[in-house]
Amino acid sequence: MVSNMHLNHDVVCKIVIETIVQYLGEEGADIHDESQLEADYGLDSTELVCVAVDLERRLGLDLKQIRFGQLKTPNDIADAVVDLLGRRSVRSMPALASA
Amino acid sequence: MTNICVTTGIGVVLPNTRSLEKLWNDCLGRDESSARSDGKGAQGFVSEELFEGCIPPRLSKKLDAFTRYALAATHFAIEDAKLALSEADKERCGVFVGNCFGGWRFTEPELRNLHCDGPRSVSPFQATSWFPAAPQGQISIHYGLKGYSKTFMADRASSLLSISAAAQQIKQGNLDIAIAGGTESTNTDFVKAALRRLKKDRDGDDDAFSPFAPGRDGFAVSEGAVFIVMESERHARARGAKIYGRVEDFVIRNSPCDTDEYGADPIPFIQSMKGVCNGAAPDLTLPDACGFSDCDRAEAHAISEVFDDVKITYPKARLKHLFGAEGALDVALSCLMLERQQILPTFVDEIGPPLKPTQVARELIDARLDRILINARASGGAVGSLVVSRMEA
Repeated sequence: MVSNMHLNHDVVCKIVIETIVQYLGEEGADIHDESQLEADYGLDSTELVCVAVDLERRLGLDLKQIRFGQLKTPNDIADAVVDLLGRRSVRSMPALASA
Repeated sequence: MTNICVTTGIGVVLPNTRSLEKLWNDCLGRDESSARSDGKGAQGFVSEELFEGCIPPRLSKKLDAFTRYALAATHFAIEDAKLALSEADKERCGVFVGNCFGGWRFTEPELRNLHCDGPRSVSPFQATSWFPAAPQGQISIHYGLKGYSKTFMADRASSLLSISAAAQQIKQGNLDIAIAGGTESTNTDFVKAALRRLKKDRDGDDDAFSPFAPGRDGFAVSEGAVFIVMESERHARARGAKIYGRVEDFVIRNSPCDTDEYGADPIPFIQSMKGVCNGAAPDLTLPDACGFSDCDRAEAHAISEVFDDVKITYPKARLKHLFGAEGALDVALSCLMLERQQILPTFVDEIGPPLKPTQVARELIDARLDRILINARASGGAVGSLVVSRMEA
């Protein structure tokens, strides 16, 4: 599990790619930030749930709020995770949230 | 019904067996590598190394073992039939599967995950891997088959029903090709517990499985898949296929009893065998032979009443009972016996009345085989009889 303090976009994207590669096995060997998960790798919605749950374990985060079905690339997923982390840190600071 | 339904390919995935030659040799007791460590019959579980490379790893992990067995056996059956499905009309190709237990190998750890770590820890493939129609769906998807298809859950008669239903669709002209058979994964704690319930106060030891033997009362289960390529004769002849045999009629009868009991009434078997044979005795019978003494006694009485001195063999005494896939295995063995014109032996110490010891083949016998009768029984009182016969080249 990675500390939230170190979860910038690049780190998250690397973890997302590692997670997908582990799921796809050899089929995912050449995956990169902008790979189209459904179009290029045939990753369907049920498989994406597997990836999401594994990603939750790796990151130590609850990712239920992320609509994975709408995300096309590892970069999109990393953006959504970083965005979720940002929103959480704002919510944890009431003064900033109400600003 | 105007079409003739023939069998043109056989695929098996059984404990230590994926080839028809090895299956034949196992039935002859020639290959001891498939025997249990104590040498008494076959071991009861499939090693998936047998069909390594048949199923893509990404697909494999979404499936329960019983679906993997089914996909591999289907692959071998299509290979044996030398069938180019890419050239077939997929709207006229169906899939018929017999299965009783579903996918408990996949489910058991997922239930533990649910109990220990909550719903988020359960695989999203649980729903699609467990249900008994999963093999039908996966075979259809894998080969792009779109014709009428069906899965049958009828306890130990499941795959005799699936094969007879496939034959009916071909005879009625609704399909040109059917992939039909049965599959079971029984090597799981849940299934073992269910089978202990089935055995009740009978002898729980696998060695007690010795159908029709006096004083023996027990059941031994195996696992695996057997699939048959079935075609209309016209379709098979047009592509020059080798024909193993013809699937003739099927009759099912019922003498209701409790849903988790097997009936011990000979009348349904008398009716199903009379109905399917229509006055002409078969050259050989493969009985249900489940090993429970009361059921076997009823079947033996029925056989003796309907046919005087018909030859009998039941290789399951050595291979153990394949449960929902047993009917398909009996059809496969019948096809091989029709092709080779030989009767496989039965490995039992003794045969009790009313069957005569001379009725049961105890060694490989050369014989003129034109028609073979296969029986199967399901809990709740249903019994079925199917006839397969030889086809002239």
